[in-house]
Amino acid sequence: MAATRTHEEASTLADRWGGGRSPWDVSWAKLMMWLFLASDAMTFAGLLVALWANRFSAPAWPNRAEIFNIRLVAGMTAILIFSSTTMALSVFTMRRGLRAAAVRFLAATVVAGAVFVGLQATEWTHLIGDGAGLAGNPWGVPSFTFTFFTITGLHGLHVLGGVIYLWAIAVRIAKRRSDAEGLEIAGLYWGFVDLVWVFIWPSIYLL
Amino acid sequence: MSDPHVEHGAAAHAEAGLEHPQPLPEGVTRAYYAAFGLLLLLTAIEASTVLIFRLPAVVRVTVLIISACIKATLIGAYYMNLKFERVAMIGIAISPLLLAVLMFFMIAPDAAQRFGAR
Repeated sequence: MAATRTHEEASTLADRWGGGRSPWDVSWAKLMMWLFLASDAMTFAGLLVALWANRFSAPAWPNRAEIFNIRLVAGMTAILIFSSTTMALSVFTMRRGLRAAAVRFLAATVVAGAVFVGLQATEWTHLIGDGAGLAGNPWGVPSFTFTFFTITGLHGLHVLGGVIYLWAIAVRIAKRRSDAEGLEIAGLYWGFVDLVWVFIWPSIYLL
Repeated sequence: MSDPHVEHGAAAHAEAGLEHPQPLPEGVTRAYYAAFGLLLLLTAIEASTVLIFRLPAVVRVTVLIISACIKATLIGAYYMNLKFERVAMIGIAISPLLLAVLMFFMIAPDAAQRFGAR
């Protein structure tokens, strides 16, 4: 049986939490996703700060333009931006009740995400083929490839997880088992994956 | 003294918010396409700082940091819908970035000292 609240308790909740039962009138699932993303952002922030601390304390850092295919990675970045746009359009169309269009945009997002993961796997394969590993590399700065594999690996896992997550949401939307709110929460996750890459791409490849 | 109307009203409001979210404004799709174009342009500019131009390090670093901040703002505002959220939610989203900058400046002196000790 639900506990009844006094008028004072109820008004306090309304004043302090805004939504009465939910902080800022945001659904619990959306708020939990935001809290997860904030904590996940801290993880990536810690890794990027560790990368920069290593850069500052290393006497030299390999020339990335000679090691990586910058054009390929720029293309990967463009693919991720494209996928964020289709994701946003999916949320937009779903909010307008256009379920079939939402699923089509979501399918485009899933395909773009899968292409990104595939290209990253190709890049890793080339680098490992050149003799790079977590513990050492031919360029004489072990922390260079350690930070590279750790940061791009964790981000790649996020993209792969996102592809599976969005695939599951697409199926649920198509079967009318999920609503616009569920899709919007998935969209927050996907936007975050793109947001993190915005900082990884210059930190690892360009600066 | 209990007031069941307040409780019931809040629950009904929460459910209404969950099941029937407000449609996003029609014009927002133009903003999505504009953000897409601008993000691609900024990515091309970023890549060109390494592939085409031979810029002084300070210019290249400044361009890349400003570009990353603009891109992050665009993605947060439009693709993560923060433009349509409350200010408190924007605060939650920005706090990790501010903490990362703080953490970097806390660690930088140690890292620089290690470099100097070599």
